[in-house]
Amino acid sequence: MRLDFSQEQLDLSAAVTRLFEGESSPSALRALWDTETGRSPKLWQGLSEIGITAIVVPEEFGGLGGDDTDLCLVLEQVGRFCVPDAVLEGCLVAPIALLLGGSDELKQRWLPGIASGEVRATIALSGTTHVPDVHVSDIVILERDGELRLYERAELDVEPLVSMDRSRRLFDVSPKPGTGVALDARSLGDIRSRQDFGSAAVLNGVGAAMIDMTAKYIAVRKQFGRTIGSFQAVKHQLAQAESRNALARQAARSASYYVANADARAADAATLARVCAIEAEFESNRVALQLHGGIGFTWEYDLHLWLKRGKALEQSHGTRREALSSAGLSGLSDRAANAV
Amino acid sequence: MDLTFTDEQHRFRMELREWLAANKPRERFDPYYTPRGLEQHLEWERTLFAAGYSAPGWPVEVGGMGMDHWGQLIYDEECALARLPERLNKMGLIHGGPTVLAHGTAEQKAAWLPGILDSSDIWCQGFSEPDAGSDLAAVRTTGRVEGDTLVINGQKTWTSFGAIASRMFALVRTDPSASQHHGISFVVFDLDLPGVEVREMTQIHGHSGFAEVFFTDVRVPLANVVGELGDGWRIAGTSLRLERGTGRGTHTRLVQSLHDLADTVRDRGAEDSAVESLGSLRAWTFAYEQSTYALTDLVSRGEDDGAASSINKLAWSEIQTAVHEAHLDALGPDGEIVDEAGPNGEFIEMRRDYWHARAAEIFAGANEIQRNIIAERGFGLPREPRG
Repeated sequence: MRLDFSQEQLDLSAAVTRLFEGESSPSALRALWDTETGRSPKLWQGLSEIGITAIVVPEEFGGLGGDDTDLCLVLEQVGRFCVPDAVLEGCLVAPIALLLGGSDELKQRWLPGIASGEVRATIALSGTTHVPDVHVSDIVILERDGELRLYERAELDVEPLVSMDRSRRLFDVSPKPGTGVALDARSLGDIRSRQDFGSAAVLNGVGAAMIDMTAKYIAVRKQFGRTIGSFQAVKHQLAQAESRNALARQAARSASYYVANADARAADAATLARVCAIEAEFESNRVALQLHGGIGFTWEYDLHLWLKRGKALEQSHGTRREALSSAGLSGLSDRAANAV
Repeated sequence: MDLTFTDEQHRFRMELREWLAANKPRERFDPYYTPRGLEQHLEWERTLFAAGYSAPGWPVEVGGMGMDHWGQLIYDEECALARLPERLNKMGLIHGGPTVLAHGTAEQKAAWLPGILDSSDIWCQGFSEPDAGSDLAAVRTTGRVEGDTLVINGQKTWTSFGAIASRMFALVRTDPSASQHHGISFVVFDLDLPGVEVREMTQIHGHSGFAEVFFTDVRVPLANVVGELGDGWRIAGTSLRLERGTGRGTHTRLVQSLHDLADTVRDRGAEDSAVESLGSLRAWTFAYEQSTYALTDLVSRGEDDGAASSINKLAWSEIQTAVHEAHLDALGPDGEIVDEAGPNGEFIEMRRDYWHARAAEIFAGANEIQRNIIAERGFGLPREPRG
């Protein structure tokens, strides 16, 4: 057994980290809030240059033919840098939906563009009405009533929504009558597994960023003549959150492997990874604000970017309670196909 | 990433599984501190020894199976799957013996290891004292050097297996003038020596299991000191690291507790809140299992595990407690009712396991100590000032 990532995967993660340091720094994020799209074209272009948009697209469609484990660390970085763009949807879930559910013609038509970064796609499963990044997407895939359909943007009536997280751009969409093409919905489970482990990886990145930021702060903030990070009442909260973050990270990383290898545990593992990610991030969110104290509550200090992203992602991609309930019900049913 | 076991590892697992199915004890063991229970446990230890299955992690030259970390993990998983009782001599097999292997002389190894292997000597650990629990370096039991003899005075406590052990490895202060972490020595001695008095203690679930051990002018050969005189703190570090280890099958036992919980939740009508809590616990158990594999992988590759073993110990003990709390919660008022008990009224099965789970947040380095390690080693935060 090897649970570490390959050098190539680490290099990929390092490359996106460099990209995000420039294009998704807190000041860059704030600057984008008041722009029309809220998106920097350079970021998506950078992702396509590194090859992130091409990872899960097979070589025959101009992609790299990689798998889910190749994207795991990248998605963690998306959370760590609070990246505004719907990278999870655009680089993993939507292309996988097209790949598993699309006709040859549809795949031929859209996948090469997705791989090259010229075509942007987004997706919303389970009837979710808050669809991210529709305004910059060429195609939108929606699951409604168990049916999976692909729309071009012009085929949708689009109503923008305002998120607590000013970087997120969400849209309530309604397909115009008689539009869209059906995708094969039999692969919905496999598509959802991508969304589950992928959203977990992003959340884990959000949690890690908050805890790292908090560790740095409490190492320099002084009260009562000492750095507050020396007080056990303070540092123990940080350690507690870190222990859950560390486990949640491993759960999502392992789930990416099971999903990539179509293992019998894949769907269950992905659900469980999502539950861990939600709960670990929830605790990190609490601890980060509490240990920062007043400074963390100001608009000027950057912590709230992550606090809000975390709160948004706890309930997107299926609610927290849906994830818990699904994980619990699997535990009541046949054990053979379950992770634990 | 590759989350599969090799063919060779799989063969070993199947061979062990088959052997355990054919040879494992059929009856529920009485507690090891009762005469009948002790005989049952010893009989099982002799069976394991005769088959060569006594010490998976020890080198072949000294009678072990010579398994690497993954082999040991598989061994622990299979023993847990077979719901075998805890190893009677685990303090010798997992802590004392390996510490002697790492730091002992050839004579010490020859004198002590065979008795651990065949369980003719049961070992216990003499670290904690009434005033040295989490603050282990505060040990006050003294070892006065008189020629080639160490004269030991003081008291150890919370000594697991102390009531039935024949030998102890202990930390004693041999140089009172040295600073706290120095001047401590690691020594092994027999518990039937004059001046040793062992008093059993009853735990909150009605079981015995640990003891207080008193020393009055106990004369031990100086040759029983492992490593250099005064180097005991460093040597104990080996034993403490081994205690945190890479899981010892705890992830497999958690899965079994979860299955028991799922049965109760189902039997009691699967209320939404109970199902959701089961979902959360399944998730964390999966995460802990995978983190155990990750730590084993790290250790196998000889990499520094940083704060990983503390992270795992902290998380595991909390998840385990939460699983058992959820079980009591699912039982509602019936949780209180003891429907089955041991011969002396001690709790058994789920109710013993519940209370036993609560101990895990205290033993093997209390969780507060683990949080210190995570914050200090993991994030470089300063230590809290100490008195």
